[in-house]
Amino acid sequence: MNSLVALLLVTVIGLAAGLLLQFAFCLRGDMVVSNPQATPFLGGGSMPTHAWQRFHARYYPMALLFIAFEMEMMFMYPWAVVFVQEGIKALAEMGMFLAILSVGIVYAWREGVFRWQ
Amino acid sequence: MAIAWPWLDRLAARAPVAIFVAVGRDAIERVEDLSLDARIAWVASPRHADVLLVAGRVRSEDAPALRAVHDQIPAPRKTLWWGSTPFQELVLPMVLPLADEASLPILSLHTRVSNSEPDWLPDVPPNPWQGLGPNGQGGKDMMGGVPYGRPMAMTDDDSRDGLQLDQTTVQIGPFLQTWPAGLVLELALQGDVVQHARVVHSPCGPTKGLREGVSSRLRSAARLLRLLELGSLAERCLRVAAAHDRCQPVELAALRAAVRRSGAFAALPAGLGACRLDGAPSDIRSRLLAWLGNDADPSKDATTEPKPKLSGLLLGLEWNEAWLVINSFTPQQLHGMAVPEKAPVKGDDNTTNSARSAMEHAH
Repeated sequence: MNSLVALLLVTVIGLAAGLLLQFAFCLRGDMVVSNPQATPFLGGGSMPTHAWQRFHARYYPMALLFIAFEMEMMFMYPWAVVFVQEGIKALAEMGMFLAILSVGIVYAWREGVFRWQ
Repeated sequence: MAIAWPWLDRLAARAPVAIFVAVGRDAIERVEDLSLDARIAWVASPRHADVLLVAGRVRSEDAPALRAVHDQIPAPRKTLWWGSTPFQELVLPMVLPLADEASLPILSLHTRVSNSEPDWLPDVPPNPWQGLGPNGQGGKDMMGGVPYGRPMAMTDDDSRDGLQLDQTTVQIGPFLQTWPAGLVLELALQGDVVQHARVVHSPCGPTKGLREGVSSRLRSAARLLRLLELGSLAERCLRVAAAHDRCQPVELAALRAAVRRSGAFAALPAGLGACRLDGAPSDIRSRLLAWLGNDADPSKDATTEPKPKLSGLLLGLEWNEAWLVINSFTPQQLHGMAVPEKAPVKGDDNTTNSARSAMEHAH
């Protein structure tokens, strides 16, 4: 119960301090941000085009390759534990799994991920 | 509703005066000497300034930019016109000849700064809303709409790998700290890599009557060191330059050793801004080293060799490197390199190819 009261007290004090600061700055009329102040500072220059734009994640092929190898390892550790009991069946399953994953690796190879620049 | 907080104003008045300087023609040396005063802090953004110092004559083409910069200074603010002509519509502007000392007028302005100046531009969005929908959409396809009156960024080849991606175009200058006075560049950026560069307005040029010598070269070194955030070394360069101007003997070897110890040369990438200048190959490191040297040779500038184009040197560089390259030339050199260029014609497919070949040529 005591901890609940303390939590409530901290919340109320935090909120009050925040709102008080907000209110205090509202009282100063010159704190209002005008339209020229809201524009980015470019030394007096401007932007002819809008800033909404798409970026290229250049690490994308590297991330793809990492996932391809990581998924192999995630499956290989439990597979190694049961391999002796399961025998040839486990080997075939792992072969199929690696074949599927290697498609991703071949794709990444084609995209030039192994070419260090 | 505004309330008066006199104790807060008094406390603020005790801090160094934060000034934003709009440097015009023939004033950069005066401004740099003023920046040595500890009571005045030269800030890089109008957002942090109290006083706008308009130093030197501002060209008519730079007037709209000056108005924009003034209005970006938050209230309370004041303006001092130091060797420049105020706009006609201003009531009782504070004007000072460039030959006079500006420190005391700036300090006195700062104590009266609570009586703020009004905006010089109307308080309206710089680009009116032109979209059809609530978020500016409404055109055709994905690229439709003109949000906030600006067209969307369009795709172009990236000079690194030819990927078609959006480019941001910005017009930067003429009023920035450690930026050649008057230079306006139009840059197309992908991330922070310069894909296209165009000189819109050339810099104001070297100060009239000032010969290229030890003093002007030390001042150029100070600008580059300030950009590397080695402020105390930059100040030292300016003090040595000021001593040289007063015909006092100066010793450059100690200064050169201090710059070496600071790691400035290691911070500048080798081969950055490489070009043939005054008949010899040079890069940013060699230029800084030459500025800190003793071999004054004012006749060097008289070579007839064509100067490299500034816009060509910037292609393919990251923005921080490009800014370093811009500051690695003296005002005399830059004046011949940054000549205004025409805007490319829309839909010209050769633009990218020519930019790439210019970049290969520059490197």
